[in-house]
Amino acid sequence: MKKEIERDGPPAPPEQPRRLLFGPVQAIGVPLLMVLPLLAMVGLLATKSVVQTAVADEVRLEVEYPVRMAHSAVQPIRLVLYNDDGHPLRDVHVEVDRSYLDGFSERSFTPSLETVDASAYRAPLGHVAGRNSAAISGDVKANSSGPHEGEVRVFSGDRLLLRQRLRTFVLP
Amino acid sequence: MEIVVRIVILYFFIVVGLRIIGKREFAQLSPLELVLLLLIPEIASQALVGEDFSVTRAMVGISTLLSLVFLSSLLMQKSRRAEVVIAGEPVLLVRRGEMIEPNMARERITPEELFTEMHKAGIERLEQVRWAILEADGRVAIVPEGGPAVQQARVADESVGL
Repeated sequence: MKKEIERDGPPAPPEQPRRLLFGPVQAIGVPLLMVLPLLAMVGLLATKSVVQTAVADEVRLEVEYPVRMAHSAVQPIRLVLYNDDGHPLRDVHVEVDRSYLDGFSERSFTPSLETVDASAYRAPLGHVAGRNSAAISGDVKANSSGPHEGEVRVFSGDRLLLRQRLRTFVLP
Repeated sequence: MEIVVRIVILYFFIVVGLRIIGKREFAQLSPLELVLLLLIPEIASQALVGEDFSVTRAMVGISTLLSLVFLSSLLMQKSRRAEVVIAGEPVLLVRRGEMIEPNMARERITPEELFTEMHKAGIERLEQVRWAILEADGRVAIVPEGGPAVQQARVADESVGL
């Protein structure tokens, strides 16, 4: 149709070199605008879960939890205590800092977490037989943006067996 | 409180983004195009964001969209072929007082619509039209015989067929 316009229609606009020129706003702003998609493409804005392990003597604690998650998203948290020793661990319980868990809403864990005091939640695991394991699993929903940090501690009676630092960043 | 902060963040993000990609993208929209552009995101949003309604996700989506729009306009500026593919070409509807029926049929423009545009341009008879051109942006430009171009009117909305 372009040829038809040139032949019988109104004159075509004059040819001129097609150059790309950018003003300062676009020269700075467009690369900035493309940062977010690039970060998302390489996975830096996606949910990421890790498994961290704390070891002491013959006891291991594996914590699978999100280190990065989106606001309003639900992610699983799983703590598994391995007793690699031949002897049982008696009266085992796990404490999780409220500074960490209070950053989430709709916390549901099995076994359920009980409030110990103003600083921690507690879940009883009972006796863990030798060469056996016990687990706590549940889901958390992020309702507060930013970093949530705290610690998980495993006790046998009053004796502290293990501790593991947790840090989850909730994207806005 | 948090919803206000979220809206403020998104508002400034969109304003800055639109400011960056430039004035070319702000051409006036017809009512039907506006409705179309409002409804398509409603339909597509579930597929795009899924269960993730975070501000981060929205900002990533918007910046991706703005980047694509900007890159498309760069491509159109640099390459005539790309401009034709992306934006289309003008189509001649009337030449020297005669309607070009195949072109009008292809663009779904009726003689009544053409005459409406002629009337808007102050022209009553077809013989007074030197050229009527459906421009790439959907407007019809009427160039009268022996006079300057006087009117551009949008008919793309009527021809969408919605």
